[in-house]
Amino acid sequence: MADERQAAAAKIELDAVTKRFGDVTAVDAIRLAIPRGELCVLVGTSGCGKSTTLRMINRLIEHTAGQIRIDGQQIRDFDEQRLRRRIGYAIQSTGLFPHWTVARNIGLVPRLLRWPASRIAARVSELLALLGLDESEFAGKYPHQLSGGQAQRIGVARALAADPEVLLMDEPFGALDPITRESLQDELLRLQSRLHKTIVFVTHDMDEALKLADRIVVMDAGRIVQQGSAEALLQAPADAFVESLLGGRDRGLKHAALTRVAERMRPLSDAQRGDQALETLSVAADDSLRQALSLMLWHGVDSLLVNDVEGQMVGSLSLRDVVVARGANS
Amino acid sequence: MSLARRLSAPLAWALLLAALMLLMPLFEEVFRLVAPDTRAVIYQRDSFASLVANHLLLVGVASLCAIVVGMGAAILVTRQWGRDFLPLVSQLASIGQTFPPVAVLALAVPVLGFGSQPTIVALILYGLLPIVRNTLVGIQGIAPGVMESARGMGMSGRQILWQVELPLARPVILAGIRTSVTINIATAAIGSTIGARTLGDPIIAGIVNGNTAFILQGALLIALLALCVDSLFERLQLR
Ligand SMILES: Nc1ncnc2c1ncn2[C@@H]1O[C@H](COP(=O)(O)OP(=O)(O)O)[C@@H](O)[C@H]1O
Ligand SMILES: [Mg+2]
Repeated sequence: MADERQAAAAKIELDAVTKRFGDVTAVDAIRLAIPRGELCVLVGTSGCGKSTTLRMINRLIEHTAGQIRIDGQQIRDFDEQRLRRRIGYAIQSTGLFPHWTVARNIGLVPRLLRWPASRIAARVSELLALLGLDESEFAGKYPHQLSGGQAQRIGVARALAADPEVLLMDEPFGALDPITRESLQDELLRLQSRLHKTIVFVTHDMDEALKLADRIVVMDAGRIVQQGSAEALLQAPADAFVESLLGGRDRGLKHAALTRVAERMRPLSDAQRGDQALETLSVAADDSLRQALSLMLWHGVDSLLVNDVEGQMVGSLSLRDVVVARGANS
Repeated sequence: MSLARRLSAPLAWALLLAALMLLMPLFEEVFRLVAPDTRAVIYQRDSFASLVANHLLLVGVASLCAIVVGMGAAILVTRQWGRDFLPLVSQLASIGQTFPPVAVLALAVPVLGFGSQPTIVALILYGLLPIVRNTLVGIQGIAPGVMESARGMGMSGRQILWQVELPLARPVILAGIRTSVTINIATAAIGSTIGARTLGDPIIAGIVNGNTAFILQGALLIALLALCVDSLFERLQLR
């Protein structure tokens, strides 16, 4: 009975949560329910209250009014340090301790929780492997010896160290170059598909939100303007502000970037396979429609072959398939 | 760096100091060059060794107090609940520095009498500023992200202080202590004007009797003592 209720209840609930700094209302009566295992992205322009919202969840900032609940329990009922040790926290500047090695930095929360040394060491190895960093190379390094991307990986590893169910991330990839940022985004998605944490992720970058989010929460001036899946937002932005965040006239391309070629291609019959001329260009089934469209534009063709991961020809994609979803002629 | 190498420079200065302190009479002819007309060329009223020891004791006690009070105050006003006192403390510390040490001595004498105690009080007041200022700068200079993640990870205030703030501020704090102690080794000599036994004794005797040799002996020992302690701190900071 109690189990059922917990399963139904959201992992994190914000109930009319308000934060005022003197006269400034940074967060204004926000309502938000984030189910267990969801990656929720708060997005909005600078100063709209994203970080404040995030930091109220681990009580780095105390909320002025309303209730914040984790697993149905008010966070005010917890000891704040104990609460924070149960919640992972990763920030843009990483905040790694410059006088500690990578291994010691990662082991911070387990040490605060008084895990035995052997268990901490094992966990550090496990996390370095999980994030694709060679232990013998990185464990003994100091933060200043790391690249931006490596430091941010270590920051994420540290946040995950004590296996928290909730992970808070404040523009973690905001300071990275576009290529590193993209690879860390991919990595986060890969991690999340294995770990199923409840993640609240803050960004001002709508493309990042569209790529990562199960649910996007658009904020403006301390309020939630719209929330929903990337698809839902693109289909029906609530107002001009959301529409402009979504890129206005680039919306079509952003939507195409979210759709995989596999969803639109026409499967080939065996007979057709032989017929297809070899010189025809090909895309991968996992590529996005946006990438396919770009290829067509660049090479001046209106159809592509589609290959699967093994390079096997599995279908074809025409410009018409890109532009009009089959069966949906609206 | 090996311990021996790390201590080589301070050790060299210490040996020089010890040699001069114990073997001063051997240099009688040298000192006679600067004071040819006086009978006594080497200061004899006290042994130089006891003056050096007493000088060091005064500076040591005063510095220890200045470190405890100065670091303590700076740490208190950088806590969340002590922040209101931050302007007050930085102001008090800089006033301590602008006060001439002689004036502090003159004010302390009526309260504490003559001798070592007023000298120590003056040295404490005088040595506070570099320690308070550098502790503040060291702690406030820590990257905000480091402090935020320390709190966000669930460290307690005490854990943050001992494991994050003090280790990261250490070089800056040590530099402040170094300045404070070195200044006070020189300043302590003024204690001799109110009856504390310091390396200022030969200097004052020299001024009173017009004996340049005495002045030189006191000044040389003070300089060597300062160099010795300063190079010790330099090595400490390098660690
Ligand atoms: N400690 C604070 N004191 C006063 N005002 C603050 C404080 N923190 C944030 N604010 C204000 O609250 C608003 C929201 O800030 P923030 O949550 O950091 O925005 P975002 O993360 O979306 O850029 C801003 O107007 C900011 O100036
Ligand atoms: Mg922010």
